[in-house]
Amino acid sequence: MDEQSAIILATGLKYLGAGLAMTGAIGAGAGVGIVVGGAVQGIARNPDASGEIQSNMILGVALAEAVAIYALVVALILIFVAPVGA
Amino acid sequence: MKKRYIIYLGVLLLILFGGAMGMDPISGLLGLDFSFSPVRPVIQLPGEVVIRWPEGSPLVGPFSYGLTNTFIAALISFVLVLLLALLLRPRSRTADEVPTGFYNFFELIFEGAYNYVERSAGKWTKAFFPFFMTFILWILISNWVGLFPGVDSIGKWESIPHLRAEQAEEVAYEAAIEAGLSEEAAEAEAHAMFEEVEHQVEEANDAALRRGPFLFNPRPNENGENPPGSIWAVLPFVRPAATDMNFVLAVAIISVVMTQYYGMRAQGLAYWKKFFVWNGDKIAKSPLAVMDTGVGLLEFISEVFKIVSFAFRLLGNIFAGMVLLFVIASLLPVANLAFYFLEFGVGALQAVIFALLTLTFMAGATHGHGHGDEHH
Repeated sequence: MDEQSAIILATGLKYLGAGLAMTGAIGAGAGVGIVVGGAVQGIARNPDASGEIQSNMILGVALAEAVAIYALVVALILIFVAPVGA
Repeated sequence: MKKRYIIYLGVLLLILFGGAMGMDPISGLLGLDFSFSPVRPVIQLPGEVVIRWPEGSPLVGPFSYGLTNTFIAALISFVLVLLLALLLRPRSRTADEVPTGFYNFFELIFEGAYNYVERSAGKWTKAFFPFFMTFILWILISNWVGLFPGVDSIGKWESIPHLRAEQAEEVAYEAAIEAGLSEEAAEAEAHAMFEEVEHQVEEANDAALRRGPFLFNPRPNENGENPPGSIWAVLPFVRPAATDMNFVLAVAIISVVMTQYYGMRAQGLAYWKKFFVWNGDKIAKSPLAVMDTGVGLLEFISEVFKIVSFAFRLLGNIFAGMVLLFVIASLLPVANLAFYFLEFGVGALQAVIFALLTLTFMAGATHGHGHGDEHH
């Protein structure tokens, strides 16, 4: 394989890696779903507590979402920072 | 009342008109030699250097080549917070008057935040509130700075290869220093690298191609060289501060280190017993008690890892939002309105979450852990 096609292959693998890194979003999606589901049930049972539940829910959603964001950072670093070849 | 809605409608129409102007076919119809579609700014993780320090300046060092655009944004948001504080201060001295307008609005916010802190921090409210509110205001404003028109879109034209040549120079300098060369020799080598890369760039590019006002995309020349967006990009003067590792790491380190400080203020050196556990008597009875030591060490590691998690949460959200705005702007400018709204919410949410987590950890550190039956 000559150098040119090796670089093209490496670039392709880089993007593939970035795509694979985003599979981390699966867990975050499930986590956010569980958090919001629990919060909605709580609000349905006790509508008076909705304010407090909501603020806790947003905190929990952000924490669960953070995992997806780590995956996103890895993907972005792969695309924009990691050099090809060299 | 009615007038206000007319203004809102006008602004909305202006935004839609601007978005429509950004679609490529329109400038083609008008026969212009540039298109109105937004130029894609340089996308890279480290902040771009806007002003390079002159040679021999004491500011030049292994980690500093010049003033970065993210640092400018951090300063702008810092000054805005300071201005807000100075504007509100004189009114807070006249306690008897009924608060109105601008002051009233912020009093509402601060009072709500103060009450919230009081509920979870108790007697530590006076110590924690400044951190809580400063994190909210500073991060919030530095995130929202990125939504101003012109931020991230006004900058100097930069050919991407030239940018890469500058980066190659920096890399070559560091490599030469590491290889044991003297500073002067390393500088010479780095400069040679820069010249070489730049020479290649000059050969590949026709320098006369920077046509059109600097905000707009130049069209490729007759030979089809220099297609817009692939070689020329805008290096923005200001870029949201939270898209730079330095800013987010700085606030994260402040948050975590001050958490340890208040833990020690509350419990003295006993605070560290949470992390470094050694129960000699218990271990003599059953070796399984060594587990406590392991758990304490794990907790210490997770405490250090908090810096990373704080920093990456903020960086990831804001950087991803920035890239999202560019990509949508160059794909379908009209749709950007919805994404600006999204970024508005994300910017506020991330600032509040950063402050809330800091508050929660600080309150947890002051509570003490020694009784054993407490679960966290």
